[in-house]
Amino acid sequence: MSDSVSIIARTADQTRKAAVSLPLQTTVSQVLEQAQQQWNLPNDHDYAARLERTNEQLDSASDLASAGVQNDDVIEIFPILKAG
Amino acid sequence: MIQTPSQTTTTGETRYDRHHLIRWWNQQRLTDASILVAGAGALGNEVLKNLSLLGVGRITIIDFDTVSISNLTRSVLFRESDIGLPKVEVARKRLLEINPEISVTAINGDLEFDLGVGEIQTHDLILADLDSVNARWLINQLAYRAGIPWINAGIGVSQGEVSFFDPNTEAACYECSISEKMWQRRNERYSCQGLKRELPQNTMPTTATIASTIAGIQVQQAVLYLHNYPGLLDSGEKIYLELTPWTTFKVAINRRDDCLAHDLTIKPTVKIKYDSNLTVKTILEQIEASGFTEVVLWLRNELIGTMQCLNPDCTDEEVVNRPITQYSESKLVCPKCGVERDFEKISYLSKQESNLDLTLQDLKLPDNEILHCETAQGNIAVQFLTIN
Repeated sequence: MSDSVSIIARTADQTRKAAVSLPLQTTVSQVLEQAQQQWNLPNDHDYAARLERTNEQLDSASDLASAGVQNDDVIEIFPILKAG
Repeated sequence: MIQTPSQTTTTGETRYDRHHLIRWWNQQRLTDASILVAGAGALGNEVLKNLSLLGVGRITIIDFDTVSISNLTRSVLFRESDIGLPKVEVARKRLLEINPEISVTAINGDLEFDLGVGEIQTHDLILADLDSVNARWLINQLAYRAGIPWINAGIGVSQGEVSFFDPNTEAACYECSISEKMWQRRNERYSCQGLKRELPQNTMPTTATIASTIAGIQVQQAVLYLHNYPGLLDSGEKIYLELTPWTTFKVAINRRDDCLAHDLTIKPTVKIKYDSNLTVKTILEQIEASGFTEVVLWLRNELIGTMQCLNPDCTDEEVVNRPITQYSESKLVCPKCGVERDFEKISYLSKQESNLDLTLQDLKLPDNEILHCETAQGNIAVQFLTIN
């Protein structure tokens, strides 16, 4: 069994997109941090990840294996909106 | 002309005629409803306007802020002449102009300290229109203590989110969705002892268009909840919406098994008449008189009792009696000698402690507060009520 998973990561507005292969032990928060850095997303925002296949907002502390992420899954990254 | 519920115009038209045309609508349910709105900013203005137009019978608004000129681009209830006035008072006045048939209570205060859990329980629902993760975490704690569902909303430049959390379900709560990074960012605003750091507030860009769009969804969720009419959000779900480019989806937030907020709900076992001069000693005696022993009453907000200078040559001692998170870190420095001070932290009340003479006023306990209490007979909750 492979210890990595190939996924598509993209922003919710689909202006940024990447096909990546990641170790299954990668945490969701590491995916978010990488995306934020690689795509120069504003760093005064917090982000969350949505697994498109299940419509779940993934627990940032989980790794990809325990979050149930599979090959060819799409993970959408979206900001947590704080203004009122 | 002001209409009362029984009044009609000469054409026989009544205020809620268009609502009555909706098959599933129950105007009486809305008239009987009681909603707490936390935050009277851009979102709060739109939410309050909607609730008053809909005829929600009892609205409570809490916000500590005053109207400023930059609010006027996004706040339908505020005018230039209102600058400097408390937001809640202005909002109350305008809501009653929109709909004189409703009742509006304005609380010019801080939801962390000025709203008792028992007071929250007098509402059907909370709508939170706040501007930080910390404030949302606090309202989540209050809602789960009170056992009252709440609807969260947040906005950006052209994006918004609405989420729904019901303590009476097993679904995720807001705290379940707070990441380590969000906690870190929240904790930067407090010292490791919990004292407030004087950092500038983050000013976030928003517009009236996204505020009205998201507030509309938030209030629609409230209307559907009050009608027990499913279809928009189930508990633990969130809608994300972006106007430019158009993007929308719904997500289910995963519940965290280790999230403590789900264990907060507890029904009051002992009720004590609220009197600001009531001492800790008397309170503990009253709880014991109800048949409980080895009583430990936990405060919701930890207090600083007495500040003492760490300089052995300095005699400075100050009785503070204020919640830790309300007290500035800069005040740790001794005003007499400039050396750092230490303080007594009051987290709970018991007969073994030295604070038996403190009063409810000293403890800054709001009316209708409910506190968790450990006893030899098990965990209970104690409610402090003005009227028993």
